[in-house]
Amino acid sequence: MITINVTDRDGQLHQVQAHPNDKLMEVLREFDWGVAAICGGMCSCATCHVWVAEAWGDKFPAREMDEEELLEFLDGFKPGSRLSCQLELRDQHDGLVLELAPDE
Amino acid sequence: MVNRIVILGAGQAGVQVAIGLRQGGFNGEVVLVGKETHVPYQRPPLSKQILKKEWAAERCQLRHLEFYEQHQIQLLQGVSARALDAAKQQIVLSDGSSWAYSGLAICTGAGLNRLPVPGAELAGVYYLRDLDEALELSAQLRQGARLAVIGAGYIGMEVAASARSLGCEVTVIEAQDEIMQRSAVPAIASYLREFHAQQGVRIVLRSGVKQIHGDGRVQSVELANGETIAVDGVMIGVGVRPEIAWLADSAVQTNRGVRVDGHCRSNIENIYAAGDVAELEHPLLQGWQVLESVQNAVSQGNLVAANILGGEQTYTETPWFWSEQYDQRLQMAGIPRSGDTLIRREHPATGGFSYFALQGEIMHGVQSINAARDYMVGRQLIGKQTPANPALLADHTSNLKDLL
Repeated sequence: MITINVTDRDGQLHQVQAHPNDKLMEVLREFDWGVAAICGGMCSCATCHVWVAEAWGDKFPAREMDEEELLEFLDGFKPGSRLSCQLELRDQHDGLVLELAPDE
Repeated sequence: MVNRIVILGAGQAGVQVAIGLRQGGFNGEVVLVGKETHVPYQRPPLSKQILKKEWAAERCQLRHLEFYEQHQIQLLQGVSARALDAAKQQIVLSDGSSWAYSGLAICTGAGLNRLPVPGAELAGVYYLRDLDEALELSAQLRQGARLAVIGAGYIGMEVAASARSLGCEVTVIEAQDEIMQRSAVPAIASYLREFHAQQGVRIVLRSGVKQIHGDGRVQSVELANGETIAVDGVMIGVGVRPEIAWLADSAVQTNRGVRVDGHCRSNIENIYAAGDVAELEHPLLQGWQVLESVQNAVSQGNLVAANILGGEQTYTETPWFWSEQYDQRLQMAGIPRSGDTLIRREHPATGGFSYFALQGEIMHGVQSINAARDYMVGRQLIGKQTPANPALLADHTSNLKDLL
């Protein structure tokens, strides 16, 4: 198990347990404060948008083109913006810090 | 007086109403009635990841089973609504039990149109109605197996792509003169049709099916023109209709679906509808609409939960849809209207392209193939009704961000 630190849209901090190999989105959608993830992980909708803290940004593979295209015109787009359906958790992500972006 | 919300239907919309009620702080009873025995699941993967055996069935679950218990959502499985007495505020289920409610959410979704031809009941003929049927069909899709797909809508074309990817010989039979005619703009439909043909799918247009032949199990499909196609399996996808027959004797007003106002409320004050079963006048669309999509089910589900809890939210979400066939990603938002001008935007570097449907400078729809950026900008422009310059849209070197 690894622990990830998530700030929700109300600024509340949550410590969440996850398994390595879990998709981050599938972990986050289990919570009442979590992501909507409407398309179910198909990289089609941008409703699982998170901001990964700067220190953790390079611990994931870079955004692919389709993810980049969905994100870049959102009002909440930042350097740390990711679609959590595209992020697979590994042991090295123990302690990961991220924040949920607002729904748009 | 009970403090109980009964949700009829445990698909994407029904589950969302239940979640929304608890997220909104409702502390009465929540009863979620599902006609299937599986833990409620999402359907889009059925024609793709499940058929292609990429996902285990459990991965389709919308929430784990424990979620319902943890949130005190009483999940009834294997039962459906039988009769509604709106005056008594009581619903009778197929197991004979009756439930008083303080609020009712109708999320019974859509049922399949059946193909009225002899032989449609043979073994080996599938409709992809549910997870069990998807798993059964998936087991049939082996290298070299011959599959006929009757009906070239989204489901049919997704199944064709999945089956072809698994090495099946696939024939698609469609009565209209183009695939996906109901929803895709002509140039997108023809592009996808040609893509399927390049992948080795045979597509027969303008042809009805006369009969399905077999001896207990399906063996061939006979077309209206007399041609007979030998098959090992058949998948029928000829559309759906809202599941409202059970409401026929009730006081709830229906037409094509359950008629609801902008708050997703029916003609009866404490009865709401969400998802594929609801029919409403959407401010961004023309006339009464039944929207069959995951996005609509989730968004309306959330809204119904909020309104049951005393909100007065109005449904204005821009509808959006997606489909995946091979490595082709089709993303759509809004719905083009007849008389709209179609503007094409091409991306020579990637091969992606989009069509924007406009009346003057007001966008009604966007449909993109492998061009997510166009789709995202279009979706925002449609929602905000911001005027968009057609020349700028057509020029792939222009920065669409300038339009927002």
